[in-house]
Amino acid sequence: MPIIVHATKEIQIKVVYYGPAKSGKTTNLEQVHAQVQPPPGEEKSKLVNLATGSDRTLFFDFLPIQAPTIAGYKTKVQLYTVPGQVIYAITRQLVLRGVDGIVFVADSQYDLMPENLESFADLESNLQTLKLNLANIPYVLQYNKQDLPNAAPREYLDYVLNDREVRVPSFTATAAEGVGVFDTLNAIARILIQKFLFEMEKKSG
Amino acid sequence: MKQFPQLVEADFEALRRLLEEFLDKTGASLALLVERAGYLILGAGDAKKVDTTQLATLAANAFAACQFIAEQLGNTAFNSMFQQGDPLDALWRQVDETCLLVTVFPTEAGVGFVRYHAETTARLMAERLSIAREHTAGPGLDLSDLNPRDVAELFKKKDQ
Repeated sequence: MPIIVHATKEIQIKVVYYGPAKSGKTTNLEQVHAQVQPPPGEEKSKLVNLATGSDRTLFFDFLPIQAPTIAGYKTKVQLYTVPGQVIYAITRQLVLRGVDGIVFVADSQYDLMPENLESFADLESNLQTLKLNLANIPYVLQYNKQDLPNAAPREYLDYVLNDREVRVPSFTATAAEGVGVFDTLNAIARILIQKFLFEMEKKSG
Repeated sequence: MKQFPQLVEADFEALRRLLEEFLDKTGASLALLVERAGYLILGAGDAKKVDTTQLATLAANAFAACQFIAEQLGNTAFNSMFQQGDPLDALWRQVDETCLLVTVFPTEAGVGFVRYHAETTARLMAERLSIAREHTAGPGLDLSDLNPRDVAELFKKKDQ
């Protein structure tokens, strides 16, 4: 649930980029950091990267960004990545704590479908441990690395990863070139705000 | 599991006063109220030298990692941790299951002294959050003028 502080008119939302190792989660945040236009009067925020010596995410990457004011409320979105390697299962669970929305970054290469599926199952399992259910958390899929010659088309990736009772928005991307990065980010932000509006309406009767 | 409450102005001011009194008593340079998912709720003190948003998220995640280790070691009463530095130390104190009090203070202030006051401040903050929870539906949020289509492009590239 987003944090709402009426006193300072702020809404804070947490989005976690999840997916297998080297699928491009950190690259997404680097591209957002490099290209996002801060709202007027706001400074560009810093990207925190807790990485190993070989530049692999050790704990998480973190980028706070601010959306334009909505109905007088500053909307702050905190973007996190998780480490993709299998050994960091507990770390992923810690970062998922308090998550509002998820971007699942899949590697589009045909031979990496088992890793994508394993990571997706790991996501569901980690959420269950936190007593959360993916069915209740907004998420979108990003099929990254579409520039590679062995990249599967969107239809196939949808068949593998999005063939569920409720299909979610999916985006093709080449994050290293910034392609698809903002489409994905805007989609999850839009879904989260729509969910938030719906819940506020429900509360007010 | 408890949710962090929606804070109205009276809650916010009460929490701010508690933080400021805590700084006065201890000589700490910075105190933050941080939600366990890493959100900075409120800060007091000298924030010129440090990015408090970053500090909040790093502190929340570091605490979560240490708490997990403590649980693995059979310590179920983990509620605070300390980072010794020079010239500044840092102390984490759980306020309730939804948030933490993170304090940065000069080494000479003494961790025992700061911890003693942090206990009291955390307890008073927890009481205030309980009050906030009782009215958490609060005044609501009037978003009636928001057209969801307007948020299709919340974030724009610099060249757009």
